[in-house]
Amino acid sequence: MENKVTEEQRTRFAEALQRLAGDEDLLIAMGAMVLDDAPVVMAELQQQIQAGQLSQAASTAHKLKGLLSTFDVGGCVLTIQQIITAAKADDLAECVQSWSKCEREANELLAEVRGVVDPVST
Amino acid sequence: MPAVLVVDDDRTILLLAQKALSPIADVVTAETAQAGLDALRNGAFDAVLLDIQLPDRSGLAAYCEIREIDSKLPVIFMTIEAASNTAIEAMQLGAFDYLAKPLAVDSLRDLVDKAIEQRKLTSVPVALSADTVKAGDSSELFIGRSKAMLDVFKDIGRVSKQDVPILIRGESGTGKELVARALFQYSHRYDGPFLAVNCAALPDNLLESELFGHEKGAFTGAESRRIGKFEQCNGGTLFLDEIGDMAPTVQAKVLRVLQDQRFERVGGNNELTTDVRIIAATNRPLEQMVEDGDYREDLLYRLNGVTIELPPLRDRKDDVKLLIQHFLRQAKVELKKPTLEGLAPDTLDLLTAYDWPGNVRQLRAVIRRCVLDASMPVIFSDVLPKEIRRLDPKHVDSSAKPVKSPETGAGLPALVKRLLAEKSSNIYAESMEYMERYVLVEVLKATEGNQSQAAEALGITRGKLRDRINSYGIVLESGVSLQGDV
Repeated sequence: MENKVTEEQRTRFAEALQRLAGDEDLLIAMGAMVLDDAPVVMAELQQQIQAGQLSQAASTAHKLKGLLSTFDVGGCVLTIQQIITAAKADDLAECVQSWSKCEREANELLAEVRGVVDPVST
Repeated sequence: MPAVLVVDDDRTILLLAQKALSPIADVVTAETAQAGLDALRNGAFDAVLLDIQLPDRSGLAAYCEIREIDSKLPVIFMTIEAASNTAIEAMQLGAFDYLAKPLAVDSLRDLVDKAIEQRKLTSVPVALSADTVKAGDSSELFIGRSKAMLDVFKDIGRVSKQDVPILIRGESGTGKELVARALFQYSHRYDGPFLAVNCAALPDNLLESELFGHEKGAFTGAESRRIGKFEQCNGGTLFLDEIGDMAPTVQAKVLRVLQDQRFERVGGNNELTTDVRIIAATNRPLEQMVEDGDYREDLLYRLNGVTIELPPLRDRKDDVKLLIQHFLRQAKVELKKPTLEGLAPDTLDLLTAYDWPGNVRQLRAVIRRCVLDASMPVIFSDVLPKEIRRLDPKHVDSSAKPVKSPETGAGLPALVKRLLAEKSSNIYAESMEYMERYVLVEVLKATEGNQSQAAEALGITRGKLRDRINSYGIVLESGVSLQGDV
């Protein structure tokens, strides 16, 4: 695969690249999968929170956290943890509040990942 | 090649595992617990990577089913929550280890490598034999017909079923690990776990944590509670290799486990009990270390209630031919050389005359190398490593250049080059020895011969440093120097 990662992206995803032993092709391939899968999981999570199904929401948030943590262990991943904690505590209000923050942060992260996977489209 | 099963519903994890593990194992993936269990029932695997949360059931439930299928298969949990109680619970139930997500390629590969090694330790049978008849089956043979080895076999038979600690002593390469595995496999604890820890491979603080576990916050970096080997191995057998390379604080804690099977995790107050049989091994002079104040006498006496002494290969020359025969047969199959007939008489003479400082491990490596290099059905002496050919007057090589003293450290590239040219079977050991001598001399010079400071700077025990100083002939009077040359 042709190497497309810019210096700026290398800096942004330095921790992720370090974990992947510097394998940029692997980062891109994982990014493509995350771009496919994360929106589906996010929609599921949003629907579960809106329906007050907090036990399922905790499980789905756990899955989203795993999916996005390849690229960032701070930011939205920390917010997802707040959702997990709130969902386990049966705190719907906190889940709803954290979700709006999480959705924004996750979409920002996905846009950055898209920049790595498909630079032409961004 | 070993085979690893990865069970996770996250495709990125499956991709990462494929990429990370393909150099060391064949990787099979499954996205549900059921698919993973089906794969396990239909295939042979050496390790499993298991997500803690799967779509169709919890990782712990899947783990219990895996144990029913194969109780000795090492299972590594993967979890996004490092402090996950489920992961800790799984460790207490005998899981091999757990990894925090996001996964890192290097640590994943290292851990799976260890798990594969663990699988081999636990599951490949060790057969004790005075001949090579069983060479064709899947066992690892422990061969010997000499009196010394027959005594070892008798000892293994005599003490394996007694629930007492055992100390195995012998030079490097004599097969201490095989004895430990045989003791485990012939013991009443065979259905329990068997874990191995190399005490020399870890710094003191990490060794303590590895053996006894730690509580969250016990030290910088202890982000979650960790279960140690003594706790994980409850009901089983723990093999402590290189038991002589242990700091006094760890010695004291191991002694306590040996005395009353009690311990605390690092940073913890709760006293835990365990039921672990300890098999220890060393090539260090523990009695001398006790005299020097570097090893606890009470621990030595607890450990060596039963001692199995493995003879060096030079003291059982009668077994060399038997071992050659076995390793040749094995290499012929494994290296796919069906036309190989055997050794020329002078090759056999040289191999039996050699002293084998690296013992059986070195002999096996030499035979494999010869088989690999042989282009004819008969192996002639010209494919032997130079250190063995030197015994033959017609092979004396006057072109070999001496390597510079390790005091300069500059001779390492030349040494490696020479050993490669000589087809040495001991390159790693000789290079590491050269490097170790250089490091020791430099650090001792920097500390003006102060061994305590040097040991601290090197990150090893004073006993280990003193042992190396003696074995390398490092002279500490009026400056630091080496006796003689390499």
